[in-house]
Amino acid sequence: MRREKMRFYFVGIAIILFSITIVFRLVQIQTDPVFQEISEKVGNQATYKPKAFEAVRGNIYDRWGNLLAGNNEVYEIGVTLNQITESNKNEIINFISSLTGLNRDYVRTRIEIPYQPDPLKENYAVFSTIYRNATEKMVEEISMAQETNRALYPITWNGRLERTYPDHRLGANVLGFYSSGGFFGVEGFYDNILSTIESSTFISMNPYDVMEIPEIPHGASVILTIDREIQARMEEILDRSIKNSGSSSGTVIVMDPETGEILAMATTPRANLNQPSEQILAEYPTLNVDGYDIPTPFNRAIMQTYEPGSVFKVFTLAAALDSGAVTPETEFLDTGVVNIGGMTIYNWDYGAWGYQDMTGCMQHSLNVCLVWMAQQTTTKTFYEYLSAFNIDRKTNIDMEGEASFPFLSPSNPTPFGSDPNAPRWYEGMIGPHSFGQGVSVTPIRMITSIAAIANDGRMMAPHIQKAVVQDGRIRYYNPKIVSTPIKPETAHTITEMLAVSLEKEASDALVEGYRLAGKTGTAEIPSRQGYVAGQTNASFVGWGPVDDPKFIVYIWLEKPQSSIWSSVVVSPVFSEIVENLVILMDIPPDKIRMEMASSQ
Amino acid sequence: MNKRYTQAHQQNPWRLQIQRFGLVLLLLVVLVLSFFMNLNFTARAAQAGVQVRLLEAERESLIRSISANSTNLALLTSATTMQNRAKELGFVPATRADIEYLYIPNYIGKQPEPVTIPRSVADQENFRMVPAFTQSIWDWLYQGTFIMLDKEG
Repeated sequence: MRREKMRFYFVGIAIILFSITIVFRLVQIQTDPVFQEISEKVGNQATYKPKAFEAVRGNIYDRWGNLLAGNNEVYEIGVTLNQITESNKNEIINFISSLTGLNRDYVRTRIEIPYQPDPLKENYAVFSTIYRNATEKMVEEISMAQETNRALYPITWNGRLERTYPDHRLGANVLGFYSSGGFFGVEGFYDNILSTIESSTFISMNPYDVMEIPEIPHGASVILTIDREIQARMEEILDRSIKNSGSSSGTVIVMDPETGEILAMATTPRANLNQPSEQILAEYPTLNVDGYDIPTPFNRAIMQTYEPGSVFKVFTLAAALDSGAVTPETEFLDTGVVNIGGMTIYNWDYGAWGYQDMTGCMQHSLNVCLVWMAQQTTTKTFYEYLSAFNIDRKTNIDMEGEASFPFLSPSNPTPFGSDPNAPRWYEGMIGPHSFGQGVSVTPIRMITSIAAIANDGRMMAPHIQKAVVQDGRIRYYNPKIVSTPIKPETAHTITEMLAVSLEKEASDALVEGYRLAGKTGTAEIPSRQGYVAGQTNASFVGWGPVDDPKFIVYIWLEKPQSSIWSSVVVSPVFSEIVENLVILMDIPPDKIRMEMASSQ
Repeated sequence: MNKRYTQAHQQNPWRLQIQRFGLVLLLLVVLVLSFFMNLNFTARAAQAGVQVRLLEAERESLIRSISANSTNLALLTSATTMQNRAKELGFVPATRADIEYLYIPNYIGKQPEPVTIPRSVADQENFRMVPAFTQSIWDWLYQGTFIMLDKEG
């Protein structure tokens, strides 16, 4: 009995000692600094991981809902650094290098980044990204390789969205591009609404920790006023015209004069937007022009100013008619030469055209007559009208990078400072200003101001945004009147005069069945040594149908080689554009339109 | 006499032993039940937590996939692709001579394709997590008690 008790006590003491040892060891593990450090490292690695919440950038659509800029899924391939060992390192380098075409040394550098699991340390690194824009096919190849080769297990991938432009070069100048931010065009101007704030945080991997996952709202989508079909056709016509005429560049803008909506805006060059930003920008080289390094504009229509020449004469005519200085029937004796402020001005052909009414002056684009018209209007009134047409201001179109050039006028005579050698306004400048020389404007400025004439004297704010899709609803842009520089009657008179002048001239700009108004412009190109001989900027502005204008078109070909004259080079381009526009915009010929209107 | 029998029966040692044993057994059963209930709930909570993570990852993947699909569709129907397809099928651009205009009463013309409208931020706020998902049973009890006391003044 005593012996049995002893055995019982012995077992009890053994159990107690074992328990004490376990407790002692537990306390030791809890308090030992080495174990504490290991526990912290393992704990952080296992329980918290950094997580980036990517915001989806808003789409850009044309007016009919065709996607012009969206997002495509690409993958980032990398390795989990703590799984890299000497035994699998070379195999991983070989595999990734052959899959992606990356240099082996580069892959090795990325793989050998020291593993640091502490997110609070500066050199925190648990994952190393090696290749950024992998396709789904590449990812499938990795997955298949991992099934047969365990050494490739450390290779992992994460999906992300990449900006993609389905039409590649179409409307590149209008859209701009995205590369960690929006640049130029719509991408640049609406960057703050297309994107939303991305966020990153450390999320707990402990399934018991219920965490609120940040809800990143998608970026707003923008619906443009651009018509993809018209844009494509304009680009095609422009590229062909540049090639045929030997021009150095070109611009075509199509606008709805009633609303200010831009239907198409084609310029050259147009980069393929689905390439890295460095390659996009390489398509816009910096050129040495007249001793200055000038970068090629991303969008000439809004970013390049130039002397427009005779298309500017419509403003002189508008000022003279609206102020009552002349009427369409007023006669002028053209002697072919005029002296103003010490400057001798000739007609384009150095000829004298005799008696001309105001329509004849516009039809033959007589500089001498236009100088006289401006003088009849008086200097003060002439410049007041130019100011009412906002010639001295930007249009504030909703695209990034609009340019402007200081306009010399009585109200702003010394925009370049008081230096005596700096250009300044003087009385004689009314001469060249009356026919569009000595004034530098962008094509968007020209079409916006002239569109007032096609829209009963009301100048509409030019815009490219038709609507914004945000917060679960569509908000449409309301067209805005910027100013009313002339009376509706004057606008109608000018339109009629310019239609008649085209018809009398039997211009190449005419289109059978449609009555159109328009004006050519051939301008000399200024340089530091004066105007360059034999080189011109050829422009044309026209709108129609004259009784109810649905479109206004502005064309500018820079330095055409086949002929320097706009009437030869640009008028046929306008005609071809209108031929296409009336089909794409469903505008029946005038006769049929009248018949339809009367039958309703 | 009956009283003495009853007292003797109640003080019977085996009876007391059974009572104590029963009490211990009851406590044990309650403990075991509590343990299994706790195990069951925590296992389910962990499973739900893992499922939330998986669903969240799937949602992110689907968002990317939807975006990619609409872009791929746009790539397949881009202006250049459609023009080339039309050419391959023998179509040529229409000229004015090819077009005959007809008056169709009540025809409203070409209509734009509907654009997907993402749900509003206000809608997203409705999905915010309620505190019941994050508070412990003690938090819930304390909070409930304080709210009740506050109500009673």
